[in-house]
Amino acid sequence: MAAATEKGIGKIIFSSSLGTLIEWYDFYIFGMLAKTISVQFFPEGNATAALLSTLAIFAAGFLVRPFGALVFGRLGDLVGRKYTFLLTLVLMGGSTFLIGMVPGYKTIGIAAPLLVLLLRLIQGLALGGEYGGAATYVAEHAPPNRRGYFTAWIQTTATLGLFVALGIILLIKTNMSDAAFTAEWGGWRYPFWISILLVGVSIYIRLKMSESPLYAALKTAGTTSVNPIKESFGHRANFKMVLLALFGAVMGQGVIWYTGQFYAQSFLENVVKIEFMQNREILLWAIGLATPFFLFFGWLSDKIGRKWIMLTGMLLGVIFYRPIFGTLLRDANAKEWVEEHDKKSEMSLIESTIKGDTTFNVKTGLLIINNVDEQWEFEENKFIEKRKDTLIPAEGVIASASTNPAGSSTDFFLQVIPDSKPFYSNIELNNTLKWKFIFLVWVMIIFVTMAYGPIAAFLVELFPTKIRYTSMSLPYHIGNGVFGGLVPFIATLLATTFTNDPLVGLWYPIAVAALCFIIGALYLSNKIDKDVND
Amino acid sequence: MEKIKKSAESFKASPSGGGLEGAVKKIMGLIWMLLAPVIIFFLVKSAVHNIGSGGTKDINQPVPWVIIITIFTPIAIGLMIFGYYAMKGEYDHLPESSEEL
Repeated sequence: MAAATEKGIGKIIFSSSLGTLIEWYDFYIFGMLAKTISVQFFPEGNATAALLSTLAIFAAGFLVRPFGALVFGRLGDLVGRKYTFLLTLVLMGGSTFLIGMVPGYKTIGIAAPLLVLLLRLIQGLALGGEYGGAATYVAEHAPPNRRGYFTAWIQTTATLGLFVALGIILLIKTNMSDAAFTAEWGGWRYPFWISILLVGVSIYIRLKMSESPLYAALKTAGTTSVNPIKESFGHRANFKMVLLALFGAVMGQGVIWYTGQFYAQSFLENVVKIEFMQNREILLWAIGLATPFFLFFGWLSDKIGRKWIMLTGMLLGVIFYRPIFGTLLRDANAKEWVEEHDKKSEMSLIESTIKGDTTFNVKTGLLIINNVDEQWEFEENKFIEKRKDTLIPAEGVIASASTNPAGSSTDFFLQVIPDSKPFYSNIELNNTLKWKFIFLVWVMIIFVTMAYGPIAAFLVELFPTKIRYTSMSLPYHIGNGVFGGLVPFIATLLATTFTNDPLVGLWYPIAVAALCFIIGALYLSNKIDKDVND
Repeated sequence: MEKIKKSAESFKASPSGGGLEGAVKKIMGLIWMLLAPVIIFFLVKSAVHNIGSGGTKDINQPVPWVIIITIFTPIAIGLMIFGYYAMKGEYDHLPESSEEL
């Protein structure tokens, strides 16, 4: 079967990648807007809504994605690649748009979280079917010596989907107030509505595509699979390759992907306490600068084989995750800055705010201000110190403080005793540190590009045409959805159990990637399968 | 004698099936088999320990654990089967065409 011409393959890659990128975008915006969605649809204090929220988070990624891989994989092997991934695109785009149209809990009550849960599950189902179809479709058009490079375009879509989602949310958020963004029909809905436009364009392009030539040939010859699920997982010879793909490649790739991008972002925000906008900026730069490397490693895999590139990405993660995350934590440690620089004598106070919640104890004569926010600047790094101040009043101040504590000026007090355990947040790094952080996150995304760039070609070459969609989709979505998706959950579990080490959560991705590296190094072959026509 | 001869021939035919590498692959197969029940045991133990411990995080809710254990049990069984195949030497030679599948 002749591969598509260079011009033809460009169109095929573009139309396949665009749709897949949109699907990733649709899937990510829900996660990125989880806080706002939670307020709108899953209000605190309602047990049913809380249960539905948990289901929306866990079931969509862990249960429905692999199930979608089976459902649509089977369909793709039975009726063809083109119509199957058109269907997944319609389902994904439709459900994303509809999430943006569901009225909030305040308006329609429990129907709101129920509808959102249902739509989120459809999203998970559609995502489970999309990737395998797009990767298979491109690979089946590609010449053998460029399969890694061409399928690497599909591999860029997950990261670019994250990039577009981050960018659009950031753009909307910077152009409106927080209140306008989080209102019931506020700006948070725009990214969902935008999806329908993107999907419309992608469907139009995909409708013009023809069926994969290898699949079309099977169809003409009448040799397509009658029962792809049974053939994929019921036949020992094929099933053992599914297991090898999962444990020797995709499981490790999944945790490397998730840790380098999602976990890095949440670590910077929740542990290092980097300011919201700067955190996104760091990630956007790192992703933008690393994305071309998906193509590079896909191209390289055509020259030297897929196995060792993927495994090197995993090994580098195993070796460097703790040093990299440790550096991120150490370099932006506002507490240390305060301690090292003579209690702020070298720092400038930009703003000090007392945020109410002030109590006056008549017996002791002490005024306790529970929320003091002070913004400090130090070598162009900014941070907010939140603390509790205890004020000892001067004579005659007691009476006025007791009637109007929040409005009392600290000038009237003899002594201010600051809380010995202040809380530091909203850290804005100076330019040098910011670029250092961008570099460190970039390095972690380079590990992602190594592990993920060649994996589509690797999976396609592992399975025969007639059951390829089903066989490669399931391990891919278990590896990424389950092993990768579990990173934050297991990280919380480890952090709760071992409270002394802030980097303890990294042991999960490190262990999974190490295990996968050993299995892959022992059992995988580095041989490139020249002929995927069989 | 005939049996030894056949076995030597199959060793030659398999590029990575024999020798130290083959032995390591088989021994490690046993480790993958044992690892599967250990993973499930730790998941169940962690679930019991964390559910109802008074916390408000996801790890303290039963639903995520039910979902995770439900999805991880077949995966762990898969790891066990993978280990069994490895121990039997089924990964000593990987198929080179779809006809072998």
